[in-house]
Amino acid sequence: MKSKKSFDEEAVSELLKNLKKEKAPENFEYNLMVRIQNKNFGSAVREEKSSLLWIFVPSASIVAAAFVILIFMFNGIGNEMPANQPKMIKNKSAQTYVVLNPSSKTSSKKSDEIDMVKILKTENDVVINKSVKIPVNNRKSLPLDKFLSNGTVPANSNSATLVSEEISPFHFDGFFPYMEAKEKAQKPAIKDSVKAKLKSKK
Amino acid sequence: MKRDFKNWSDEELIKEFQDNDTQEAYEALVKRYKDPLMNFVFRFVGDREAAVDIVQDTMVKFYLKKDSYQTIAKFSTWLYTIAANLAKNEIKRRNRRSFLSLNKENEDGPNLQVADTKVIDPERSAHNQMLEEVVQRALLKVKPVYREMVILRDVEGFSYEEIAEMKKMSLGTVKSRINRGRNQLKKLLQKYYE
Repeated sequence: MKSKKSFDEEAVSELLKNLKKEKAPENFEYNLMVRIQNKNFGSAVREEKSSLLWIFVPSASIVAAAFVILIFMFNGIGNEMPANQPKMIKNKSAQTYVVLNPSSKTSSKKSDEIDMVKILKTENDVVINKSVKIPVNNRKSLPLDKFLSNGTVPANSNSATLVSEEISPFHFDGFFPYMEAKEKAQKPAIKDSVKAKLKSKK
Repeated sequence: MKRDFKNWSDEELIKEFQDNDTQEAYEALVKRYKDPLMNFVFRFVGDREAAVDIVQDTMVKFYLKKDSYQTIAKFSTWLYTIAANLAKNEIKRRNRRSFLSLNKENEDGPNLQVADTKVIDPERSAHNQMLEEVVQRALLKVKPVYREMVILRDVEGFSYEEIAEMKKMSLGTVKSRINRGRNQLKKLLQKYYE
């Protein structure tokens, strides 16, 4: 068995040794010398360049594929990606509303105070209700922003909300310059002619 | 006076070419190695035209990079290493091309281009020519890493030590690769012997 194996290998080896010897074409040397004299080294030099460039082809295709996958990923799950969500702007989303307290009874209300609810909506949409007594009556007005923010109205703020006799507040939107509300609303003066008429009636 | 380089050894010739840029020394080496290299590359690639181009490129590289040869190595192993690397690149390029090409090659491998030797050698029988084609076809089916070793050993007649030096491998690796190559070839040719 062993001898058969070695015979087989020898046979293969012998077969290869007896193959006809290929020879270079007759004009091989002439063509080579012409090539060298003309410095036509093209394919021999190009061989190195092309073999080096081939190294970068797979990496370039991998990078391109990764780029395309990333684009599809961002498009597909865009809303779930934190980077795509709109940024929360601090202080902008936090809002304050002041409304009349719906649970308060107008009859039991003191004449010089308005029972209101300060609703503070924070950045995280948490709503805080806080009861506020605004010391205002028909003879008194106050700057509401200053009152609600405990006197911390920004200096560059060019708007303010004033409350006075009317319960519904009115709002300066910055078109008018900011003015301090008067401490006491002046009682409207009654004309002398009207006073005289009233006296004469009595 | 023109010198006769016929009796010079390979190493003497390359030294003369390196030191004095003697073109005749280069030409003598080309004359000496063009046919053995042609035979080696043809058996490895299986395409005569491609083999001619590869051997030309080998000689051009030898001309351009003569200084990279160091006298510690045998000249023939250095030259064969250049040719083998170029031949392997050609095989890789062909594989890439056939992979990308819609028209795939025949399952039997690339078409063989065996030179028509009937005119040169009329006594050569048709049977021998057919057998040679079968062997060449089988050789091309052997893995390139084994094929190269088998050709260097059995076709070109290099010793195991020379191949180990050429491929920068241990003697054991060279021997095992040659054996594997021969075994693959044996399996492929078995049916023709039975």
